[in-house]
Amino acid sequence: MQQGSDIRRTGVYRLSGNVGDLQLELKLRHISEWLPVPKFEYVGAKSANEHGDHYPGSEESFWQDCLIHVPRDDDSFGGIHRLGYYCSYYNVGIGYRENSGNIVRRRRSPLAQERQQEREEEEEEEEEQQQGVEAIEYVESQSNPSWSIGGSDSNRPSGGDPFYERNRELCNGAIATIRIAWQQKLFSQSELERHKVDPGSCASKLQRRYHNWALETLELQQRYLRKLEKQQEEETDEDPDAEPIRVRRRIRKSKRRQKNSTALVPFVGNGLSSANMSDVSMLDDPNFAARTCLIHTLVDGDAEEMLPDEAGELHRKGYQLMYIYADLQEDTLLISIRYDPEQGLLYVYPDFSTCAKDLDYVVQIERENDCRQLYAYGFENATPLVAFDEGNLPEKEEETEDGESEEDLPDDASALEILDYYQRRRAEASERRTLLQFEMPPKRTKRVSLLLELKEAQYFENPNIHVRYYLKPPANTIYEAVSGEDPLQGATATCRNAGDWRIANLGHCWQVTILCEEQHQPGELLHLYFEVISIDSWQRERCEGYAHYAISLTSALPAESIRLQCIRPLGNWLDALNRYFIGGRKLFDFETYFDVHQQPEMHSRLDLNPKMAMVTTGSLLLRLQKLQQRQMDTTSQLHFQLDLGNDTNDSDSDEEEGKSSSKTESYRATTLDEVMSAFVEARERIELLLGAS
Amino acid sequence: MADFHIIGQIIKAVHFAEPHLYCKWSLQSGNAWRLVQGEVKGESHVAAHRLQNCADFVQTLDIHLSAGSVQGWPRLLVEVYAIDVLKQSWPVGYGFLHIPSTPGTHRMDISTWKVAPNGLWQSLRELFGGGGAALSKNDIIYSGVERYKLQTLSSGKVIVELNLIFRKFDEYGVEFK
Repeated sequence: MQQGSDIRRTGVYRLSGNVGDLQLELKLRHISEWLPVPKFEYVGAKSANEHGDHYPGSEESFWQDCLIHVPRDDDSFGGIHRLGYYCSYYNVGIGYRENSGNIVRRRRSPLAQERQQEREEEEEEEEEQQQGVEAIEYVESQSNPSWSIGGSDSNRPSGGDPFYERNRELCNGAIATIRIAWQQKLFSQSELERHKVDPGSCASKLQRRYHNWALETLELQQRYLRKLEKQQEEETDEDPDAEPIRVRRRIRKSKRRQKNSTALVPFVGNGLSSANMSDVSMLDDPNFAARTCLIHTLVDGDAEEMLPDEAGELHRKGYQLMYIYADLQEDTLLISIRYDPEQGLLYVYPDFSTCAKDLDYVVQIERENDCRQLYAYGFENATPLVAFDEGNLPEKEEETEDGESEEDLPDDASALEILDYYQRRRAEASERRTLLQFEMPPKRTKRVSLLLELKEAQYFENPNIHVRYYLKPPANTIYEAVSGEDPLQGATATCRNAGDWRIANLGHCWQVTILCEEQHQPGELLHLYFEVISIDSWQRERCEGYAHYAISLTSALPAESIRLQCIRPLGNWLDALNRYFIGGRKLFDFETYFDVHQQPEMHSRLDLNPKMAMVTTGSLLLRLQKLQQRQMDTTSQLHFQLDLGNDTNDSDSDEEEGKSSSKTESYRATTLDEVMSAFVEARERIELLLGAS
Repeated sequence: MADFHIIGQIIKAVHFAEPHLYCKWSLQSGNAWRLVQGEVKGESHVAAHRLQNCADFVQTLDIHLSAGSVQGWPRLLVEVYAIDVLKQSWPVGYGFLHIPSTPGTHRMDISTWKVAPNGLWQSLRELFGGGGAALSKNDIIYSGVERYKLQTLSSGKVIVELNLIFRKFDEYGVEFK
């Protein structure tokens, strides 16, 4: 792998089928570790004496912390194991056993390694003879080797590293492989801890489902532990007098297992990790990533707070999101996927690898002690996707349209054929109709959609006018933007030779959609400001007038077109001369001027000075239409209240009584569900907050 | 899904300077709207009137849409073209309007405009040789903040009559007022 190949770009794909079928295969492995920059500190004569027993008079003891980068050819590790390039850091010194907390790695040639192993074995044999009873404990320490790939056994930390404890296979060079479906939830360790607790009876469906999945993961972990224990027991039964530690023997055992194993992810030994396999064989559990919670996902069902900051905005735009993380010493975002259901487009960042085995992407984790871990990952799609090509799409659509139009009824069709033809057309029509679901406003909100049309303008001082408009929505409302448009402000086209005594046909339509609270006050108005500007042949702009219209979002609007009278500041004679000869627009804060709740300083409406007078100019013809959309749940609650009232008054027939009682029960159930879901949401937030603190 | 029926006709074009006119029309809506039956675009015949300054198109509309959202409310876009004896045609009016948001019968007029000639040469060419500037992309008609840079000339009006039938909108909480 070349570091230069880690060019991340977003892949855009058009889904050929259902997005639910999307699956991707992810592979992750640990490549190497960079140690802290060696610090040449005086450690005193004592430290040299400590190791003098083992390496008397050795020159290497002076260089034990120094790392030298030795680049190697890709071929030396085989073609696909070119990852080894990054592992070629070489420690001149030899690690010492007492320094178990310090992660020191060294890299040697295979031959040298073999010699070193033999020497170590001899030393170990001698030591074991001396230690006797302590052998079992030593086995334990050997079973927690450092997850440095090429390090000696003696350099490994004790079992205190929780990350190593959880991810032994990954740390020993195995490739974590996992297949993830669209919106599939995989737990992180903290999520697992949270969801394994029984949520009780007042839990949402999602929470119960998460709890069940958490239990399944725990069961997987326990099963693995049992298997491990059983394996250890078998080994001790087989040869109780055997030496507990034989690294070479374990490698052979691994190889034997590899032959017999039907694992999906065969361990491929390379120059990096084969020399130092731990006693926890990765071949026992090829799908360890699912068990160890190494890979976890955040999906649309998760709380908004857990998702990245951009998620809220993307959700509002209608995207479906999925984030895939790896729990490497810190939570690392590997892949972010978003799906646009309207366009049917899938955005994948970074883009899919050609093959997951390529491990195209590199993740570098830096810890506080300057120790850096390097991981590589790759992922490929397991579903057929077609690359999105803008140029080809319309042609395809046209082809399908042509295909449909070609399927006309022949002239000499029989009665049965005619019946079939129309039946098929009806079926197609009903199919098209059932493709969509009506978009509802969010809970406790109301959607107000305004259809505005600026039709005409007339009686202004100068021709060649255009109108600029600005919308100011009331407070506590959310403006729903359409992509690529900004209807909160805009301008009409310039009408040449019109706008004075001649009518300027503006013909400008736009739509504004706003979300407001269900209990929106009618007094909170949407303000619409217009500024009419003329441009003469010398490109001089002049203000021809201002107009304002306030719209109540809740009350009805006039059905007919509205004629808005425009005004502009009169100014003194100098202003008039300036306007005629020089042109330009005078600074006028029309927004504040039209606001009845404010008293502007520049142009006060209550100023009696004739110099501050306003003069009427032309008029604009505006047509307004309004649509409102409410949440149906709220209206059903209203019905529920009405039904409760009606039950006592009129109950003429048994059928009506039955209907109303069933309705009441269903409404009550809905209300209870809402209360319960709100409670669960609140509890999850509190748990998150407590977890964060 | 709510159903939306548009039944009506594009009646005529009035106050146009050119005698022989025809009209292209199209219905545009948001992504959440689907055509169930009918045609969303069409073209009328060439019309002329011997006595009045108008062209009767009588172009029938019968469109059935299914709505998935109130956003992207449908709008009718009309383009009026003039044609001369040499069968050269050029646009003399662009206009569009939102389909009314209340059911029932509506008679409306669409104010149209055309692209102003850019310079003296184009004006002379339009006056004597026929033809005028046309928009390369129709989406300029209804989008863009910088639209004031588009120089237009006021043109005639197109009169349309629409009968609208809304179905199942109340089931989704939509009110028209």
